[in-house]
Amino acid sequence: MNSQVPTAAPVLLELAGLHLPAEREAFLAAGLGGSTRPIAEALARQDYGDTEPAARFRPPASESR
Amino acid sequence: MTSVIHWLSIAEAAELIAARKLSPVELTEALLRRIEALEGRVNAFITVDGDAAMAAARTAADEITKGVARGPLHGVPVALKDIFGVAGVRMTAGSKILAENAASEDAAATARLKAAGAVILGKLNLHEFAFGATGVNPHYGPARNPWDLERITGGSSSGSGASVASGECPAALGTDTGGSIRIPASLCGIVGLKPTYGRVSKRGVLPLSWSLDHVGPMTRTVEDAGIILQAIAGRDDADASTRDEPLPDYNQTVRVGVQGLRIGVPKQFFFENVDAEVESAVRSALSLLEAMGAVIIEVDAPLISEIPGGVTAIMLPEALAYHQKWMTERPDDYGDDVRYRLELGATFLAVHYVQAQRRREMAVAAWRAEVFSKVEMIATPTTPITARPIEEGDLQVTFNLIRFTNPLNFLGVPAISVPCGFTGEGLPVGLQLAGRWWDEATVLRAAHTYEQATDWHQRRPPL
Repeated sequence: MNSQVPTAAPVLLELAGLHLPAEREAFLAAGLGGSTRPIAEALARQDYGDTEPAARFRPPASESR
Repeated sequence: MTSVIHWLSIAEAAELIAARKLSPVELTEALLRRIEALEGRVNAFITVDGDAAMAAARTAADEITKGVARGPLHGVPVALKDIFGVAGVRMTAGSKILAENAASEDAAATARLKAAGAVILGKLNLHEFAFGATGVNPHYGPARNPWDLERITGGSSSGSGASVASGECPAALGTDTGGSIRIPASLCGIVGLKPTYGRVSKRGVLPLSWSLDHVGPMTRTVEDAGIILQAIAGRDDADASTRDEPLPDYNQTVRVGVQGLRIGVPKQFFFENVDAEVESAVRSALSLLEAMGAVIIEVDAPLISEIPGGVTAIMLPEALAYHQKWMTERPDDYGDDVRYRLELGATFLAVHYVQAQRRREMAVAAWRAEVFSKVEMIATPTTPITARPIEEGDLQVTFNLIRFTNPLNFLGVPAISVPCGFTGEGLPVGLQLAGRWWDEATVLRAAHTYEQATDWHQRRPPL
């Protein structure tokens, strides 16, 4: 997934409702290639086992509580 | 005891107030005069609420005269980073977007401070929307470091650091998503405590990243940090991250000493690429703690190379989720650096976010098994660098400032920064101590023991 991120930036930005001037989009793409690519690569490793995400939905307490 | 009113610690002021040797009105007036005298240079406050502060001080004085005792914060002024709600008071978040905004109700932490009798002096400058580590704010100007007014305070709780370090108030509240309490504490030469994730309610505090945000105190002494934490900690049904965990009496536990305490020094990451003077000060602090009875042990830092990326993959998308409406409608009203970080948030995929949350669980399990089973806490520099010139820029400075603090937001453990020296240029250096989940007491205890054996906390900036 990591290699797709820089070229996918315009689509992702549009989906988020963000409209950037061309020069800022280019700057962002450059940043993606530099700073966020290693993050994407690290997160793409498949050593998670059965680990669940840390953030979890918390249902409300029962009415009888 | 300190003889100048504006340099009194909370504990010192409380003792004088209880003995009827100092009135809350006299103390509040002195601090408002101090603020008026310094603000043109320090720029720590966005809003000073003098009338409300004096009214609260008079109420506290009346209560004390009638024998009502609310504890050590009764009649003591504090100030709040300008993302804490105070009912009816302007809350800008350091932004142009919320420049005319007023909070409809008190944040949970504000309410708890008021219930403890504290006097709210006003609202403090910050990095715009708390989304940055320098404290350089394009809308309200930078809060300036009291030790060198041409240098940054660090952020994002920049005004909190500057106001406490300059004697404008004895304590402030800050928030910490990647280091925003501990970084300005380190750079301004004060104490900053990020409690365990969930120890203090975030209700009524404008969020940056729900999964990583922490609320905590910034003070001039460790004892005072414990006093503030005692007042604001505890479960809040309106903040699902908070829990019913035992809350010790920090006034007692802080004085136990460090005999036999095991302090881990990470073998990887936390001492890499550190300014020589910073490392020297931190190593000297460790030697002193060892001489006082602590046991220093080298430990591994499991999964550490993956943690900073995990922080980014959680923080940026969460921040954009909160800001999405304004980012689509008013993007040009953001400062360049904050807008850029928010735009970056759009480029993370959902799978990155979920995998980062899984990585967080793995990191917590690894640190519990491999670090906190062997030692009660770890010690590191708070920041690898000291306060940089304001005009130096953002990206590289920010990267350096957050390097040793943001892994501890990912883990959610309590972490404190306590002054441990000064560079040859007279700039403060901070020692970071991070303990087991919910064990703020041991962190405060070690920091207090170290602090009391040194005089760093008694030095005052040349204002």
